[in-house]
Amino acid sequence: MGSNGRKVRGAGWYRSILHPGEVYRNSEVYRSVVRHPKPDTPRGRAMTSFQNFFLHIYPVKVPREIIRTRTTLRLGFIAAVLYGILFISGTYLMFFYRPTVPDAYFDMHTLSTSVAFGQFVRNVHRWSAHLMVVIVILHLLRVFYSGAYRPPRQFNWVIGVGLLVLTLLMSFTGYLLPWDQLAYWAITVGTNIAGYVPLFGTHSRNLMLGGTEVGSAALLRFYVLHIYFIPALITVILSIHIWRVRKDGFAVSDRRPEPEDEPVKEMADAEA
Amino acid sequence: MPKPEEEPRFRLLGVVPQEVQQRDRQEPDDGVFTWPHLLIRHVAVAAGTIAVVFVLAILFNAPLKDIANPNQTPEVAKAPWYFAGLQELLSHFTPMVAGVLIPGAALLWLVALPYIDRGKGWRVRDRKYVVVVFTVIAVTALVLTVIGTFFRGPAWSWVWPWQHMYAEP
Repeated sequence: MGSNGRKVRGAGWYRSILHPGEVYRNSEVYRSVVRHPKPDTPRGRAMTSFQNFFLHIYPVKVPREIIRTRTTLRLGFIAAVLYGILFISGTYLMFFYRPTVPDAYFDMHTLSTSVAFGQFVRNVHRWSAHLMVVIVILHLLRVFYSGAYRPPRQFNWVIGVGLLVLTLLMSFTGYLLPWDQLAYWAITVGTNIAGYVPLFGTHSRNLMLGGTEVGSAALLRFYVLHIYFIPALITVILSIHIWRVRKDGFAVSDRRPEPEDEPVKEMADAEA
Repeated sequence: MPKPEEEPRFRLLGVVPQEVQQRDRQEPDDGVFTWPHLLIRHVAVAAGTIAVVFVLAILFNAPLKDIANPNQTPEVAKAPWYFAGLQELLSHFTPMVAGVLIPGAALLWLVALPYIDRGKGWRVRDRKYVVVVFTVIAVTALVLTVIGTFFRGPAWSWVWPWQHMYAEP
C-alpha cells in the first residue's frame, strides 16, 4: 500500500477532509511508530504480524480450525486475559496495602471505604482470581479430552500442569492477605494439609509460614510470593507454554487426514 | 561399459531424516491470516471476559470479616474451595493417605500422562485406558470439592446447603 499512500499524499488537500485519518497515518511520526502497511492485503497482514511486537507472539497464519470457537473453547486465552486483569488490578491494590499485622486488615477497610474504586478493584481482583482457577481447570479438561497432549506436545502438557499448580499457589497465597478471620483460618487449614507430608511435612509448613503458626512472618512471605515470585515464575513459564503451542502448530494440524500417508500407516500397523 | 556421456551422474546434496520431512508437511499451508481473523475473535473474547468480571464485581462484594484472631476459632474453618476436596478427603482417611498418597499419586499420574498414554491416536476410542482413569480422577475431585464446599458445616458435619450455606468465596 506504499504507492497508494504516496498517491493520497499528492491527491490534494480535499482528501484530508474526507479521510481525516490519512493525514496522520501518512505523517512521519506515525509511520515511524507503526511501520507495517495497511493490513488489507496478504502482504500487509503478514507485515502487521512481523512488525508489531505484541502480535509477534502470533504466527502470520493459523490453522483454520483455530478460528472456530469449539476447537479450543478459547479457554487458554481466557485464562491469559484473566492473568492480565489480575496483574493490573493487583498493581492498584498494592498502592494501598501494607503486609504487616495489623495494618493489612485496616488497609483493607480503608480500601473499601475511602479509596476511589477501591472496593470495585478488589472485587475485580477476587472474582477474576476465582475465575482463573476455574478456567485453568477447564482448559486442562479440554486439552485432555481432545487429546492435545499427544506427541509432539507431551512436555507442554507437563508445563501446563505446572502452571495449574502455580495458579493454585497464587490464589492460595493471595487468600491470606486480607488478614481477616476467613483468610486466617483458611490458610491455617490449608497449610495443615501441607504438614502431613512425611519427613518434610512440618519443615515445609514452617518454611512456608516462617514459624509454627500463621503470623506476621507468614503474611510477609505470602505477600512476597504473591506479588513477586510466583507471578514472575508464571510469566516465564507461560511464555514457554504459549511459545510451544505456536511452535507445535496448534493442536489441530496433525488431526487432518493425510491421504498419502494413511496406507503407509496401515501397512506398518499390519506388520506390527 | 557405457560411454561417459550416457552414464547417469548423481551428487549427494544432503541427507534429511524422515521425521523432518513429515514435520514440514504438517505445516498448514491453507491457514488463515491471524490478522484479522483470529485477532478480532481474541479481542471479542477478551472484551467478554472483562465484561463478565466487571458484572461480577459490581454485583458481589469480596468478603471481609473481623480481623484475624488466632484465639477465636470460627464455627467452620474451611480451606479455599479448590482445596476443600482435600479437606473432605482428610475427614475420611488418615492424613498420610488422604493428604499425601492419594493427591500425590493423582498429580504424578497427571504429570506423566502423555508418557503413560500408549494409545495409537488422539481420539477417545484410541486411548480408552487413560480416558477412564482421568475421568475417574476428575469426577472424584469434583464430587469431593462440591461436598467439602457446600455440604459441610461445624465440626465438618453434614449440612444440606439449603439448611445453611457455609461456603465462603
